[in-house]
Amino acid sequence: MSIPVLSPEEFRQKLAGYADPTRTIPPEDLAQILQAAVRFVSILASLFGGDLDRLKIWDRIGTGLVVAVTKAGGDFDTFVNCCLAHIKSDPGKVASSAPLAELLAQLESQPAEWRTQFLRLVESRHYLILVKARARWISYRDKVLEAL
Amino acid sequence: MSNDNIRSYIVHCLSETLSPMTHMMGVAGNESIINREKVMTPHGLREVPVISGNAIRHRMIREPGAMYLIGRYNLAGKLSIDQLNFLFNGGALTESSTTEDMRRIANMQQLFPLLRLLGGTLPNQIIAGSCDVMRGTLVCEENRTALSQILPGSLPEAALRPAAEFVGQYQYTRGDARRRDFFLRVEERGIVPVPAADGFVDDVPGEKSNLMIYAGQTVLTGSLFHHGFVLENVSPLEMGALLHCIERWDAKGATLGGQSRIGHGKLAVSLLLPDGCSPAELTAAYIAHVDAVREQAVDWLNDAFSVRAGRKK
Repeated sequence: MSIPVLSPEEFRQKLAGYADPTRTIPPEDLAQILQAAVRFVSILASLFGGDLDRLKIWDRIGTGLVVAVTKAGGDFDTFVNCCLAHIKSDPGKVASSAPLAELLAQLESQPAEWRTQFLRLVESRHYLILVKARARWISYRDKVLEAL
Repeated sequence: MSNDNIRSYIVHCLSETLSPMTHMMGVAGNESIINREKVMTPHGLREVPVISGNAIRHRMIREPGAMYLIGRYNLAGKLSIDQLNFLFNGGALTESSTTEDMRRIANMQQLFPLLRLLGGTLPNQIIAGSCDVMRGTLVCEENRTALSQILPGSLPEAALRPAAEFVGQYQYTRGDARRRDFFLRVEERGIVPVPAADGFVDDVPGEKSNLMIYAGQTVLTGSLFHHGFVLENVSPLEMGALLHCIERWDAKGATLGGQSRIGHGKLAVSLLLPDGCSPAELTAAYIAHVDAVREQAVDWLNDAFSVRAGRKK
């Protein structure tokens, strides 16, 4: 017979391949990951390219998130790079952005599952993240928030 | 047939999607929505993609099985619509069913293990089958309770991925002949087309191209479904017929759901068979049986669907 016939053990192993180790992340960490995503997007607003229309800043960041998460294919560094490229960030400003450097360092110190979950949240909740990031950005602009 | 050979079988299948699967439940605007069922989970009600038992039964078993019989018995072009409906779709009652012809049922069951398995409806009587088809259950966290009840052995302790992660999107366009109006009749357009460098004329002046965008949801490539078959009190011939159908379905492309014309719904199926089950022997016995009863089987099919004397057409 041309169709694979599995033993009970092979059958169980095939199912085990569909377990998701990132699901062991506790709910409080998920809230932190969402918070980090909001912070990242508000930092993007500070790095928005001068060549682009600032009236469309949140449109552009929104499409950037969707495009970047698709292009990244699960790779966090590629995602960050695609986001910055999509909003035509000035390399000098990116290099000297202390909030971005601090956030990236924080994310890199987390387990790989954490960053995978970060991308998953961006993909599934980008509208929600945009709303919260814009509110955060306005707080910063109006000096309610001291740092991004 | 000796009663010693009668037993029940449970065949478990794991089908992994090798291309996006579009087993749809409806359309919203120009977007198709995949088939889902409500599942109560510890976190509340969730909508989870599912493959209907109806689709599995038809595509994996009935259709390949009927195609095989027609080919083997050289019946192509010789069957009526009613006969075709009986073989491919289970048939329909079209006459009074006040009397049952037990002899006819017994003959069918002796001659056609496939129909003994699936049952069907003759013009004047309904014949039960002996195969229950399990629905295609997505291997996801929402289905943990159901899967742990159905599956042999245990599920992994770690959480499974949530159903939402297995759902994706597709978008295609359907072209418009206006974009290739070089082939239109000139008098219909009232103008003389001037072909561009590539030999085509881009647009009919004053008319918009109706390029149609259509989109929908899919179950992603790499998703896993559990499904299966429960055969109650059957002979090895029915089991052979089932495995033979699955094998032929697999050999013919192994698709489920719609849009297989554009590559959707390709599956890789693996089986978990009951102890002491030899697929090669069972299918060989089924093929030998089909060949051995060829004449009687064709006669039965013609007799069961013959127009009765005096019956108005």
